[in-house]
Amino acid sequence: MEEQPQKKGHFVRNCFIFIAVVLLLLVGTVTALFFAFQNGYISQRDILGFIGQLPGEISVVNLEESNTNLALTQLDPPPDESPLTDSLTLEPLDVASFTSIPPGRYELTVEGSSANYTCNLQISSNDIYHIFPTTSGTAITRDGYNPQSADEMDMGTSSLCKQ
Amino acid sequence: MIKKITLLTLCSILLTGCSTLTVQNISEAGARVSVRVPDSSKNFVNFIPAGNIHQYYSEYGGSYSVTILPDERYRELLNNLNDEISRRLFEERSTLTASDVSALVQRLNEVNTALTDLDEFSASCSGTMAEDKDSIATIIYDNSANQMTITCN
Repeated sequence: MEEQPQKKGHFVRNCFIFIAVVLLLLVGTVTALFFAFQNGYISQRDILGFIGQLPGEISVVNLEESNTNLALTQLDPPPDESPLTDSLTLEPLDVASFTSIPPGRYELTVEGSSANYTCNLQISSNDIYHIFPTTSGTAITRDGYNPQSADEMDMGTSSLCKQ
Repeated sequence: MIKKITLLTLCSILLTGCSTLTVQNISEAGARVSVRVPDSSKNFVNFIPAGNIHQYYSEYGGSYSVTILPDERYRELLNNLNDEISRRLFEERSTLTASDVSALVQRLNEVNTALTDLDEFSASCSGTMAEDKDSIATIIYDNSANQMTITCN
C-alpha cells in the first residue's frame, strides 16, 4: 500500500526527464540547423528537398547567336493573389534559370531570332525543365522525361508545352 | 500534419530576405564566369566584359561559388551542341528513331557535366550570401601567375 505514492513519484519524475530530453533534442536540432544555415553548410533548398517540398526550376542554355527573351506567367494563382511573373534575357551562350517556382501551371514565352514560342507547362515539386534555344529552333526536355520522337523535344510540338 | 508543422517551423526559423551577389570584372579583358547560387541546382554562365559587373540574386541565401571558365573551350562546347541539335532535331527529324532521340536527350543532359569538367582547372572562389547583404566577387588579372584570378568576400 505504501509503494503506490512512490510509484507515482517515479512516474512523474520519468515523465519530466522524458520531456526535458525531448526539449533538449529539439532545441539542439533547431540550433544546429540555424547555425548550419547561417554559415552556408545547408541551404533552404536542401531542407525543402529533405521534406519533399522542392520548388520547380527552368534552366535555359542560349545557343542562339543573338539575345533570347523569356517570360514566365503563373496561370493558376491562388484566389485573391496576383499571378507570379518573371523574365530573363540571355545573351548568346548564356546559361540562366528561373528558380524557386511554386508547383502549378505556367505560360512560358520564348522570343529568339529563329522562332517565337508560347508553352503551357505543368510544374510539379522538384521538376527541372531544360530549354535550349538554337539557331534553328528551341528544344525542351525535363529531368526524368524520356521522349520517343523528335516532335516531343521540339518546343513547337512537344506535349510538355500543352499542359 | 507533422510535415506541415515541420515546414512551418523551418520556414519561421530560416526566413530570410533576398541576397545579392555582385561579380565585378576589374581586369582588362572579358571573363566567362560560371556561378552557383543557393536557389538553383544549375549554374548560371555569363560573359562579363572588362570593367563591368553582373548581379545574381538568391531568395534564400546560402553558399555560392564563382568560377572563371576557359572561354574558347566553352564557346566550342556550346557551338558544337548548337550544330548538333540544329542538324539532328530540326533538319534530320524525320529520320530520327526513338533511340536517336534518347541519345540526343543524353547529349543535352551531358552539358552540365561538361561545364563542371571545364570548372575543374579554373580559378574559383566561394562564400556565403548573407541575409539582406551584398556579397562581392572580384575578377583581377594576376600578373605574376599570368592569368585571371577571382576573390570572394
